[in-house]
Amino acid sequence: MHQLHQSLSRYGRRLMLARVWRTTLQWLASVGAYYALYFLTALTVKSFSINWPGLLYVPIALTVVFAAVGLYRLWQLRNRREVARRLEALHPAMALRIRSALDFLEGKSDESDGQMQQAYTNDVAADVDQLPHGEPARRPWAAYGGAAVLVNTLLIVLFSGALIDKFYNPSISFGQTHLDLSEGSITIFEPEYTQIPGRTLPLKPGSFSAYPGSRVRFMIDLPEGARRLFLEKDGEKPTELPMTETNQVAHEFVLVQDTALKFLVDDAQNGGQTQPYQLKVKQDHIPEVVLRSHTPEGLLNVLDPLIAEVEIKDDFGVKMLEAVVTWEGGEKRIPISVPLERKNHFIARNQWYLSDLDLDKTPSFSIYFEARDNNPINGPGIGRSRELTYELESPERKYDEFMEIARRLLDTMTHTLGDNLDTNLPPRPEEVALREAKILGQSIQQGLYRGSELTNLLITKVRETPNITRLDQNFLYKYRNNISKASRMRAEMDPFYNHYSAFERLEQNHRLEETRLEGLTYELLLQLKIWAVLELERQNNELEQNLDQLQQLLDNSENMDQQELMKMFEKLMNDVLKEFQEMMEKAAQQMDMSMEEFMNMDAANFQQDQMQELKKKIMEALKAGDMDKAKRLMEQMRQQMQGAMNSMQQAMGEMSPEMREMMQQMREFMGLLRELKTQQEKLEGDTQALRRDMDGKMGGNQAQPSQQQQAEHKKIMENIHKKISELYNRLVDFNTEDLLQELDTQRVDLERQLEQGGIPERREHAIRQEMRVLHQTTKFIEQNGLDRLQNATLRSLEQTEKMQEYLDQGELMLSLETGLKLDSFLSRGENVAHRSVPEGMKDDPKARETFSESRNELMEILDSLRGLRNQMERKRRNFMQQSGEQGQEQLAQRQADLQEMIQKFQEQAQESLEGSPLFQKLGDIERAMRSAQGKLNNSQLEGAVQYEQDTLQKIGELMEQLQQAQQPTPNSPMPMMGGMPMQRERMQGDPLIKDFYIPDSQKKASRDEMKDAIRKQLQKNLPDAYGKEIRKYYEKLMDQ
Amino acid sequence: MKNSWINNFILCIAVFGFCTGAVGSALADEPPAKTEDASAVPNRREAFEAALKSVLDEEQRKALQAAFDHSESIGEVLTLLRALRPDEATRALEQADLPKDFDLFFQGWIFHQLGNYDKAHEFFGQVDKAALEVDGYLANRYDELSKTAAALKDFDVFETSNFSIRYQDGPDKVLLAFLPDILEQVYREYARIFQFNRGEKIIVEVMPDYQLFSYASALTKDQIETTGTIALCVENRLVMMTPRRVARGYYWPDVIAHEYVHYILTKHSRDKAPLWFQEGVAKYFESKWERPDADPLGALLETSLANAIEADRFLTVEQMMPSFAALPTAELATQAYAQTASMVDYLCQTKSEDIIYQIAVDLPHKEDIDSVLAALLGVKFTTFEQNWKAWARTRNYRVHNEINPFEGVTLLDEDASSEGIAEIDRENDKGRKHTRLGDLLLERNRYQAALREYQKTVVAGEKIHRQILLRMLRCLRHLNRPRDTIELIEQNVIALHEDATMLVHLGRAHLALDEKAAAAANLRAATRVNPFYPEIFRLLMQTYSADENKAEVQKIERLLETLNKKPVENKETKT
Repeated sequence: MHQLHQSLSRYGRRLMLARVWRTTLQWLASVGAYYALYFLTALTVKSFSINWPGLLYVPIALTVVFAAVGLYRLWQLRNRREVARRLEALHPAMALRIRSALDFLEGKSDESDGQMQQAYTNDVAADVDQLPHGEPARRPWAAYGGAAVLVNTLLIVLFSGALIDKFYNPSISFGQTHLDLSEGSITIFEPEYTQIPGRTLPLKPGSFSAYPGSRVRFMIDLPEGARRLFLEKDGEKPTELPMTETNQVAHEFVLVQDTALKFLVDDAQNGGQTQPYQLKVKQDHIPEVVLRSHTPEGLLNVLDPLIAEVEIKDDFGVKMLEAVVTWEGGEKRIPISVPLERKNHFIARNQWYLSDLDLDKTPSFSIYFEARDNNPINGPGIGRSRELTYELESPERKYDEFMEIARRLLDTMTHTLGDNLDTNLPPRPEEVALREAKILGQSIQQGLYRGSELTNLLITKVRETPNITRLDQNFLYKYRNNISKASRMRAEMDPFYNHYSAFERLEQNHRLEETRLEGLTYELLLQLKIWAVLELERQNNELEQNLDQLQQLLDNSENMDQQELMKMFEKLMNDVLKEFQEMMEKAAQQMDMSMEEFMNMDAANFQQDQMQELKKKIMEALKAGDMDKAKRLMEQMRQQMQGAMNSMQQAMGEMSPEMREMMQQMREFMGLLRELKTQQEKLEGDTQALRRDMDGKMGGNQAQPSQQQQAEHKKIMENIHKKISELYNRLVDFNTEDLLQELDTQRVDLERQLEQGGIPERREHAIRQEMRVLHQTTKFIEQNGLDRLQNATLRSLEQTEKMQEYLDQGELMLSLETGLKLDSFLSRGENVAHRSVPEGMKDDPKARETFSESRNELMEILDSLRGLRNQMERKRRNFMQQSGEQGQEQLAQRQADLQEMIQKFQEQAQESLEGSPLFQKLGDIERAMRSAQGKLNNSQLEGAVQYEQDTLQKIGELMEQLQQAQQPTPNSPMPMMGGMPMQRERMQGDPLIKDFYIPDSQKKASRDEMKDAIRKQLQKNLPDAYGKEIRKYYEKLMDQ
Repeated sequence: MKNSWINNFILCIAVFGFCTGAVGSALADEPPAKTEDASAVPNRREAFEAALKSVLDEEQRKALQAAFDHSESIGEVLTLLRALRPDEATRALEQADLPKDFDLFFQGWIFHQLGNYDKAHEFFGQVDKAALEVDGYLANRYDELSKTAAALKDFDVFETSNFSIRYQDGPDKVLLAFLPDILEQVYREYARIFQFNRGEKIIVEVMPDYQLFSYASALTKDQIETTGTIALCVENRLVMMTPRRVARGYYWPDVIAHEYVHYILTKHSRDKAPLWFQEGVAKYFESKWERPDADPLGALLETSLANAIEADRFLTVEQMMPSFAALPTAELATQAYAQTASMVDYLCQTKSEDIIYQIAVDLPHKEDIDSVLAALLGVKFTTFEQNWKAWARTRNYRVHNEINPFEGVTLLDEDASSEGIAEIDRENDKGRKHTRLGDLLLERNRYQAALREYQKTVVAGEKIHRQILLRMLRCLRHLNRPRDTIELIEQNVIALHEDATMLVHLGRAHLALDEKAAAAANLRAATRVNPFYPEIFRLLMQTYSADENKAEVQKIERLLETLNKKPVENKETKT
């Protein structure tokens, strides 16, 4: 190969490189320039957005172009001759020389001189070698390219945010601002709690309102040509909404707050935006809780129930209602049921005993009602009632006050008796003596008035005095009556002093009065002693319980932190010791002695010291974690304390043998009652069994009323129910607070009229009359008259419903029983209405009339049922006589034995308890037993069962009263276990109110429910096999 | 356990010792009648020693041995001390050469009997009690004596011609206004009846409380209260409880006279008089120092005896042992007194009162009462007893229904200034309702009315219950009805002279009626039961006219002052 060829080849390669490089730079410069321009445009023009086509299409096109140019340029250098031509063009001095040389070399020339050709060729080759490499650049593409890269880099670095924004949020310009999207709809689904049905509206911009939680759905049919639809919500960046194939757009959201939105349509021709759609949130009101009536705030007796009536209103319904009781260091929430059907507006009447509230030992507490509505979206709205604050009356203080009055009464009665005894009536009437007697007579009269007043005071105090039972109340009522009798008699004696002729009668009456006054004074003295005995027993029980708790604390100490245990133990122990001390002091006081006299002071101090010492030892044992020792010491302490209590009782007993005996009798009394209860229950069961047996043998003994009778009964019952319900509604409508306020306003008004004066006498009289009525009405409301009426109504209603049910089921005997109860409630209601409803209100609730009318109607049913019962009874008796049944006689004998037990006890305890209400009650029980016995002897099983049940009820009542009298005061044991519901636990242990578990089920039934159910079942005449099975089941149930 | 075993053992030894003639040997005039061979003693001693070795330690054995070795001497000294012959006991002790502690103890005891409590206390102080532990009786006695000595050494002494009265300074000093005269009178009378002339002065101690009296008498409080043993003749002296610590007081002149009879009899008979004789004679003569014609039984004892005769239920003399005070019930104690007093009455009736002296002085010389009676009456005791029963049946003793059975006494922890109205015990309350009503009225000062209520409890023909009576008297006093008061008391109180309360009521009533002599008589009588009741003296003063009886008034003023004094107690025996 010739050198020229070599040179050209080399030259051609260099040229190729230069061309590739230049084309690349040119490409870079142009792409860079494009991007710089693009970015700058995007940055400067607001509506210009960066997008993928802009970013990629043009640069790719440029790349392709430059690639083609590059290839073309390379194609231009496809052979040496082309390179030569390119060189010649580049260097005019070489024009044609290179190609000529090539021609020579390729033999294409005509020149034949080889040498010359050689030389020429060599020259050209040498010249070509000396030619500068490459092509001269006409423009500085490298600088252009670099500058373009730099500019772009700067733009990206400096405006990256803006550029990214421009890329992701392309701005569209929607020129038209009143775009009308007429095709479509808005549907609002209100939330479930509102129970408002959903609604669909035309798609017109404007204002809409809905409750929080509503679902709002927009359905939009897009106009022709629309490409995209954007949603702008509350002025935020519009978002594109997805579109269906049919050019429809659906948008749904949950409304929780006020929202404004508009749609933006991207359209080639008709782009623009709609007017805003304003969606406003309607307000869900919080529940309104208003106290309608309540136990007056301030002092509250621990034995009184806390009554509160609240009215609750909510727009969509209350989900939960609670009474919140708060006291220092504690809170309790008591759920109150919300009626299912009337969640939006209802009245809740509540009654709690303090023991239900489980308060700690606290001097005061507050209560308010809290209702939560059913709004789950932005709720629940919580509404609260006004807070009621109560101070608990100290039961001890109340009791002491009571006893103080009782002592004053005794004092008065003694002086009155003294006046009578001091009256010296000579054998024959003498003026001076009679005059003196008259003066003393006046003093007796005054004493009796005062005694009566004090007794009344005691009666009013009974309600608020703990530990004083209904028995005592009965005693006081009777006592007041007796004083009144004595007072009347004294008044009758007055004229006798002026007539010598009546002297004999005066003497007679005077002696009678003496006996009467003696009786009154002695009776009261005994009652005072009984109270003192009971008080001691009660304190004793209380202390025992507290000691039990201490023991329990030690027994359950495994799970407790030692520090906590010690702290708690010490606190409890201090309480116990303090109580013990107080108990001793009180006992001394009862005996009217000073502590020193009552107990040997040295011995008492020694005992105290020993107890303190023991306490110290127990604390040490606890500290050392020696639980066994602590328990042992505790036991020792308990024994010591019991020993001390015993000796104290002994001391009391020694001082008063009467009291000792009385205490003993009381214990025996309780034992007797327990025994009577057990026996009587068995007797009742046996009588029932005999009745069943007889009925079974007779092949059924169920009398049936005629259909016509049944229909009548039903009608009557419905009528009664209606009447009482209406009465109840009328009573509920009285809002006592409002009423009181109203009455007060009226009173003030009337008073003002009176003060102004200048009114005619007749008018003044009328005003005074009106004021009296107002006063009575106020008093009626203040004394819970309305409550009592409402109670009677409610109970009547309850019994009515029960009776209706029994009648429907054909349970005649149960209907009769319930009917009698209903009758007693109605009569009670009538009495309450008669006694306490003041003149001014008479026409309003018409309670008395309602009760009376209902009673009259009820009588019809009762008479008819009684007739049926007698019919059954007759039938059974005849059968028993015919079949020579003897069982009833044995039962009668057993009944007689029980009566004998009572009589024996009465004889035994006559001296210490005679005249006390306890004794009278025992007499009542005995009388009921005698009636049962009579019925049994007469083969009247139905009647016998009834009297037996009556007896049982009476025994139960008496037991309850005795227990109540001997139980510690309701709120004092509570401090012991920091809010532990001790009272309740004890109550649950009481067989009288214990819940019954139904075998094989989870349900619990109260004793009454259960008794009713069982009786109902047992009275049914069931087929043999089935009957047996059923009986077995119930026997199992009864065994519990 | 061990101690009680040892005590029993020692008791055996003591019994053995006394039975084998130690007692007999104590009689100074007659050598002991030895009934057993003297050689038997060492043998038994060896046997004891062998037996004791296994159970006692060295020291105990030594002490026991010492006691055993000297049991005869100890027995002798003890017997002399019991016979109230301290001088002879001193001589016996000097010859006995007892171990040191025993010697010291007996010396102390002798000084105690001589009334030299300082010395006694000093000796007792030196005794190691552990050495006496071998004998439970001696150890107990040591305790009791040392405690009484410690207390008594600080007592004040008041000397009369024949008596040395020891008393605690304080209210008990009031007794000195009456006690010396009575004692001297008693001394004179009994010196005549019993032909008794004292050697040393007779010590009389007034115990300020029952604790100290318990030590002196070795009786428990219960025993004292049940049997009414409120005075004693013990340890060569007469001991009486101060009436201020006995509820309602007691008729102390007769009681001290009773004890003085015991003193004389013990001295005369060298403690050989059997219990029935001792008590019978003491009971028979207790009132005769003042009223020679006094009924030896009195209504209470007569009733008790009448009941016993009626039921033919006599106590044997063995049943009365070892002491009337140890009888289980007050009724039995009363019957024992009644029986023995009646027996003595029988003796005196069949012979004469002189026979008592005869028996007493014969006793030391004869084996027992049997032989004395045989010599003097010609019959043995059993026959005598039968004869007495036959005699007693002819006496027509009658039951006094109005008398309440003896119920013992009530000892007090505090001084009883006056008798309060206590709760009425159930059994005696016949009209409880009216009593309660009366009380209610009385509390409220409605005296007239209260009285009418109390009157309703009165059952015709029956005596009014004491508590009701007291209430009625209070009412009457406030209503100022002295005549009624006198009438009521006279109708309802039987042993008036033993009832200071009633006497004071009477005194007051008489005073209200301006019957000063009668008032003074009643009030002075009251001092013989309870001289610590200030009201007595206040009323008594009113019976005197300040000018005429200036000395008397001053005396009473001093007495009242004394009554207000606090007892001066010995620190060591603070009770």
